[in-house]
Amino acid sequence: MSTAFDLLVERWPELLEKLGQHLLLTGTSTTAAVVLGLAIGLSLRRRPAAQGPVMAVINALQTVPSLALLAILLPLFGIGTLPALIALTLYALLPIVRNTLTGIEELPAELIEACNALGFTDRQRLLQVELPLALPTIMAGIRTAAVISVGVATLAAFIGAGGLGDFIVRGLAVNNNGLVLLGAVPAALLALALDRMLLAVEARLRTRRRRSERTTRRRRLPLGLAGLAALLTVGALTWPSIDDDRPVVRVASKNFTEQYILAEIMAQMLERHTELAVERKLSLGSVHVVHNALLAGEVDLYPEYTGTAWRAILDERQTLDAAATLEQVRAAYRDRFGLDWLPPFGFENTYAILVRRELAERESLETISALADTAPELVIGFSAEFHERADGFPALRAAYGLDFADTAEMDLGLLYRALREGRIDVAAGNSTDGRIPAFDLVMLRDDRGFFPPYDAAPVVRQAVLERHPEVGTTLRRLAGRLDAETVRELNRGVDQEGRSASAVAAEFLRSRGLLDRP
Amino acid sequence: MIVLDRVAKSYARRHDALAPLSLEIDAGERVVLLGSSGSGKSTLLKLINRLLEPDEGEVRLRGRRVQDYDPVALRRGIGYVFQGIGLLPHLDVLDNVMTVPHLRGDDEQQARRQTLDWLERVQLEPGEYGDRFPDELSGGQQQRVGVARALATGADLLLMDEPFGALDAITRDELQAMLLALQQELGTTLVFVTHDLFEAVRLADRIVVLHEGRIEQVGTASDLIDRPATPFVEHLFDTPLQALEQLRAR
Repeated sequence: MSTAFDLLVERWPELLEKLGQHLLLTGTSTTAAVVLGLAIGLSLRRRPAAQGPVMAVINALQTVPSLALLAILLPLFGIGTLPALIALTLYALLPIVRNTLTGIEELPAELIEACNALGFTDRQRLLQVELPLALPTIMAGIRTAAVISVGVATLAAFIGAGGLGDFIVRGLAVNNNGLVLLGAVPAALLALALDRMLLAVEARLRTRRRRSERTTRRRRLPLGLAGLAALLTVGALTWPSIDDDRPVVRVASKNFTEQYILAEIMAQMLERHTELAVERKLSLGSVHVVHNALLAGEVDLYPEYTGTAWRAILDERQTLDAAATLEQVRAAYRDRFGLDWLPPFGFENTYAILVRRELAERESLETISALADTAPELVIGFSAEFHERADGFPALRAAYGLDFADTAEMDLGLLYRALREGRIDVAAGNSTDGRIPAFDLVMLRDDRGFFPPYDAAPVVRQAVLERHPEVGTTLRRLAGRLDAETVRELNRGVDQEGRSASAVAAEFLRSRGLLDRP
Repeated sequence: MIVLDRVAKSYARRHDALAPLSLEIDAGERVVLLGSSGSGKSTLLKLINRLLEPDEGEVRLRGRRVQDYDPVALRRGIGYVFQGIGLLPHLDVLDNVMTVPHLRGDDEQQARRQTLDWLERVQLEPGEYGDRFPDELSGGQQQRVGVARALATGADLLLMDEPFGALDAITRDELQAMLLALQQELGTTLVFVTHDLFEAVRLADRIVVLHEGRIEQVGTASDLIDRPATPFVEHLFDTPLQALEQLRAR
């Protein structure tokens, strides 16, 4: 309990920031969806022929899983707030359009005829009769949309749009349940609060009030709206704003512990040794997401591994030694992408095929090829990315002739625990993970040389290096300063001790004198 | 006042059609359109305020083709009372009666004064009923509000589509009496649709008997009873009259 409280105190400013981002994401997208949804819903009014096709499209949008929708928007709109807002708006559209339409279409035909007979114009009928009477249904749709938005907005973290989802994604990545709850609980509370608030607005908007109550209604309606406006203002004010005029360098990372730490190390070096404003775009979904963001110029640099680039981006099959891999990758990245590989940090983080020590000893397993005999009785777990990558599971299975009883795809952060607890027998983890020694896991040797070398190094846009040569100079100081043992320690600091990546990075930089002026 | 000149209306699916028919209604006259459901009596009523457009022929109001009126202005100048839920459920009694003055943008103070007056005339105490909502009124009270709303348009023509059909006999009798008194006082032209023979006899100067989209006969109640033009009209009055005579003989 006290740790939860500590976490809350420690992360309070960050929580406010993320909450603000979340509010702005939710508020903006819901507002856009209300405007758009009402417009669509009302324009379909009494046009049964158009309703079918339009509703089919909107329904289809809703059935696309939210993560997939974000992925589809990625190549079109890149990463960050815009694609997240678009996805959230599209999601929120369905309940609003549907409820606007049903709310109005469900009104008795006799009532509409009565309005016509009384001499209502179409517009008067809409504003004075149809909308007021359909209001409860429409508002129910808006409330549903707002609540859905709060939930889906947590996924915006995967494409760097921030919000409370950042805590959840990072908490999962660094194996910290407290962090997950720090994102999930406020998100749930936010959804409830929004629902209540919209309910209050609806009560104020209700036209059916007695004369004697009407004066109070006029006073209270602005109050309800003011509450919503206040919430949105809080969101807007806490929105992270780079309010100085300095040029910005944007540091990205993928969504696992080591990436956060390396990104923090680079970011803090740049903050210390250059005049640039540093913006962090951490926990992007995968190598492909970051790569596309780099190509689109939405982020400027991030830590990557040579082997990942070699196999997953360049799609090369053969395995070269470390120096040759770096050389080839660097040349290809310069030619094809306008990206540069700076000198490596000094460690390799290869895929580690892991088993529990007890299993390794019982079956005398030392190499991956030794797994072939027992594999039919074992379950292997790996991340979704590992399943899809060219250097991932299908190729590994083919290279070693492994035929497992079953496979389990799960978040990288959950993998080690699942292995320790015996839910899976084999895991494809990272060789630098601090949980390998901590959980007494055994790493099997890649005796057939399946995996290429995975030396970690900063990948930077060449345009940035040319415009701000100090970026290259500063990051080159990190060359060779991190060995595998050090990185494992840093990882353990975050994964096991629950410290923040920025604190771990700062301590490392201080202890190595890297924050001193050269 | 109203001239229907060889108007015909057909529906693709409904049988509530009108064969070509002609009818003239004078100013200040009370005309009842009598017929069973499907006889075309509601269709005929709706042709007058252009809720429906005729397929053939034309409808003239005050000497002018209704097609030449702006439909919205036309309707705001005709009082209309509905059978079912004619009242707007989210508006209280005062706002319901003031619907048309509000739509026209009449002076609020004056409209309100007149509304209070109309409520008195339909025997609803404004202080007690003014801020009630339709679902807080009995069926008879709702129709009183409906009549007040129609009269509050200031129209000299009142179209009523089976307004008292769903009411119990005693309430219906009260409302018929009220309507007759108001019509005689105001001299309003009244076109009243019903399937109730006794209501027709009580309210009408002239009764128009409609059957399967055709006019069987037009005339006063005694014309229809004494000189039925068709077997349908004869039969229509015969059965209830015989029943009455049997009752009286006992």
